[in-house]
Amino acid sequence: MKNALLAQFIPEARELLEIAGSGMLQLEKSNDADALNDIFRAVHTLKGTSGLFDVAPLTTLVHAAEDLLVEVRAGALTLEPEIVDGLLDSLDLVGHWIDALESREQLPPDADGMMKGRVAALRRWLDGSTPKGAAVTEPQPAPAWIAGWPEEDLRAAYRAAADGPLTAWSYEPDEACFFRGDDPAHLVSGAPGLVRLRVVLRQPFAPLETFDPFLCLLRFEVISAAATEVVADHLRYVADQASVAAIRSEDLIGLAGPQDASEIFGDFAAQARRHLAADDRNGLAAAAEALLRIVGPDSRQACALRWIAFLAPSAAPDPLLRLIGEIGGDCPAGTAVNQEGSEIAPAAPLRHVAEQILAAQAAVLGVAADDGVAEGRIAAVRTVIDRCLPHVAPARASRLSQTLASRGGDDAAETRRLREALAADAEPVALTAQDRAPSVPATAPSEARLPAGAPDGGSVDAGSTEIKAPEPKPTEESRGPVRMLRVEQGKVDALMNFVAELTVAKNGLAYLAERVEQVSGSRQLGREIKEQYAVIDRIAQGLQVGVMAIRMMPVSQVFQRFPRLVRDITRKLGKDVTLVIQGEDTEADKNVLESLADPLIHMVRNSLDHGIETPEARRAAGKPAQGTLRLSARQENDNVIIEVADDGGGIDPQAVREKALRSGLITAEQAAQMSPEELVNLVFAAGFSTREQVSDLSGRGVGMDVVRSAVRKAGGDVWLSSRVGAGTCVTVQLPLTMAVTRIVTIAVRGQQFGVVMDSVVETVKVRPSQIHRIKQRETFILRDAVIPLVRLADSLGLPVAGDAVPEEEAVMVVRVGRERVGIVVDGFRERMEVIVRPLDGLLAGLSGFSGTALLGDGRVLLVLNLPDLI
Amino acid sequence: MPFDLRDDCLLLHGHCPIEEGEPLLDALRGTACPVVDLSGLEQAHTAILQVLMATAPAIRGCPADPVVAACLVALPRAEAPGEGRAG
Repeated sequence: MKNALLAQFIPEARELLEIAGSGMLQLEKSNDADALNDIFRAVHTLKGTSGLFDVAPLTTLVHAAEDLLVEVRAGALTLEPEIVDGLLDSLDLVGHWIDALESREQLPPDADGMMKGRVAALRRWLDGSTPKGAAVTEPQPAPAWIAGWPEEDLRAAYRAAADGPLTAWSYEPDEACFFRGDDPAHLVSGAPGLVRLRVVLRQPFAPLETFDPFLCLLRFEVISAAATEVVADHLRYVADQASVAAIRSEDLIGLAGPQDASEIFGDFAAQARRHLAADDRNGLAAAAEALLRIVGPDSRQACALRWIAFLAPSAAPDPLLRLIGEIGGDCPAGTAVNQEGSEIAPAAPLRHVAEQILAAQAAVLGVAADDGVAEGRIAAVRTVIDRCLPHVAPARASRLSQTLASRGGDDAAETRRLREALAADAEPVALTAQDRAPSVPATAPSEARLPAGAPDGGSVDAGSTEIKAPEPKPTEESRGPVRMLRVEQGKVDALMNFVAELTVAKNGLAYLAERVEQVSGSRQLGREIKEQYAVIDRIAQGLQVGVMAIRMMPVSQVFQRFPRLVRDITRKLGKDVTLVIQGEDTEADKNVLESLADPLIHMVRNSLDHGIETPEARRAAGKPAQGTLRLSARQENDNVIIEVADDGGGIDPQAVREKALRSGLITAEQAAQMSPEELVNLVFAAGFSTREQVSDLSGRGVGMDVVRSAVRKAGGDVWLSSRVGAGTCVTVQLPLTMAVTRIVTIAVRGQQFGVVMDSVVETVKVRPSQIHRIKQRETFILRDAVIPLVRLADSLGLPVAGDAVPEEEAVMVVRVGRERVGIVVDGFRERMEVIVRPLDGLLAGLSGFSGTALLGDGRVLLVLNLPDLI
Repeated sequence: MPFDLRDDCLLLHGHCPIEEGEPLLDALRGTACPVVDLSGLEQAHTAILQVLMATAPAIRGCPADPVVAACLVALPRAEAPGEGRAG
């Protein structure tokens, strides 16, 4: 591939697709926020990276998927199975395009059309969800600074938001940000969906003489009509200095000003409710405006009236009713409308802050004030207490609201009463608040709606901490990324080949040592060479282990495609199956695993199709309606054992026997001798599965011979156990690695052959008298077990030896499948590690041998394939 | 040069980078009743905006950028240049 960037993109995109796909399945199973975030991140990254290339349809499609996920993440859209189907199909399509990109460096010509169809399908869900979404958006406490905004700005924001998403975010660049090249204003200016923004000073500017223009003291407060994710993405580089929150348009309705208890408001409330009941919006607005002309503009009620006049023509009845209740004064004491959200949300995190604010109020009241100031100050403190009420403990709230309700007495008396009420049961938190005060950064004085009458902003500042979104958890960031290296497999394979060559070359030293002893008769030199050989041997083994470890992959690489496969097949078949995956961390050589992938798919498909019954049939059989398919992997010695087990109907050995008999696979005699277990394993026999009616009857067996041949080719074995009505378990055993094979050489009629060490159980000497003939076969007894004997010379068709029967026969007991067989040989030679090269060319069709290996002295050794010989 | 000294005002235009912050501050400090014309200003670095906020000159013209406008919303407005010359 010419485009190096594209070459890098392709594996990355595949990986991202894989993450997204598996996350999607996990998400469908359980509504897992982490899984959703993983998918989102993967899709988002894919979208971003794909933008680098000329693959517009791909980017657009991924973008549509991302939009859908945004809705899901915001809770506006539930992840229905159909939506998952749609998303998975889209990911599949992207996967095909990636394949096309890899082979042709461009998308298929029909990509644009296909993309349009898919995008339309995705958008359909998106559109369908929007009205629902607005209603379902989870309530989240609106940032406190919204309350500090002028009403007109809030109304303008309300108007601009219409029904779309609304995000309130603030950004407080740190003082030294200019030196890092940040331009906060530019960042804010480019933010998506700006509706209204306010710039406040965190602290007053220094006098002009000492003013430092390069110290950033600004804080930006923005209401934006973009989705939270989009805003958060825009602010990703300053995430630690910004806080972003989704708000509802109702959150913008904030009330400020002192309570006005005039009766006229009660009348208005009654009248307004009638208007609202009759849906006379214009009447309501007119009534509010009429009342506004006669009452003072500063009271809380006047503020509510202005909102009513503004909202009456368009808004839903709920916020209007709340505002009317606010005016009529029959709401729970002091519950401001814009705090409704925080009431629903757990108040605990805010309680501390509220208590801090209350402590600050007590401190404010403690400062002596002039008469003129005191009145305004009391009003301000009352407002603040009023607003804190929903967030403090219920008992404390009710006591405070009683204090607020009982007016009267002069200012001094009221100040005292308020202070006592505040101090009553606030000691512990108040103390912490004091302790914390110095470390709390001072925020803009205008934020908390205090200063109306407060004597000086400074004393208030200490307590009026802003409610900030929780800081990003440090644990997420401290977890350093594992450093990875993406290496082409070919390079590792080349390395592996060299290691294998080294292993073989190293074997040559052993021969050399022997030759030195024989030719020059120098035992000393021979021993030195052997010592050197031991050193090289140790290094070569270390090297081999290291290179093998690079090639090791967790089985999960193969398993991870199964959740999807199982889901698709069961949906198609109308079955209900849970997939249980165990031991996916088990590691095995990449080539081994790859050779396993297809057989596994065969087996899983079989289990789902024929093994596990339909829910009805399962219920009728007294089993849970949901079937279970268990995929498990574990390491046993130098083998990986993989099991595919289902709790389905199992295989009926009698049915298999009848079929096998009818198809001539076994004779009646053989059948009579076979155990049920042996019978069910007949499904692996070639020719058994290829007939349709057989597979229908046995309920299994499609391509099982294919499975076995694939596994055997990889040097493994496969067998099956089954109980009628209880389920089937297919076990695959594979060597951990295929590169270097340990063999033992045996001699037969003067020729040497290799036998793979793994299959050798033991070697024994057997006297001819111990060999018994049972029917056609020779057997001997090894520790109370009858073991059949095979004479290798006969199996290989070697000429009969002329000499007499030896005193003792050398017998190599090997494991073939799960049977033990004794093989009579003339003698054993040495053990060694070799690379077994498969037979190719003219020798390719030769049965009985699995390959050849080069010996240290340059001879070629044939390695036997025992199952063929027995 | 993104900022020019004219006879009756300081003219900011185009993109005003952070490097202009100090010269701008000096210029504004040295003027008794500074007037700044922003009608041609497309974009200004935050530091420039801060200088303007701190020195609070009279502003002429409407900045196109909403952030610039939000920063300078509290500053006094100068009368339009035409009227200024007439008076």
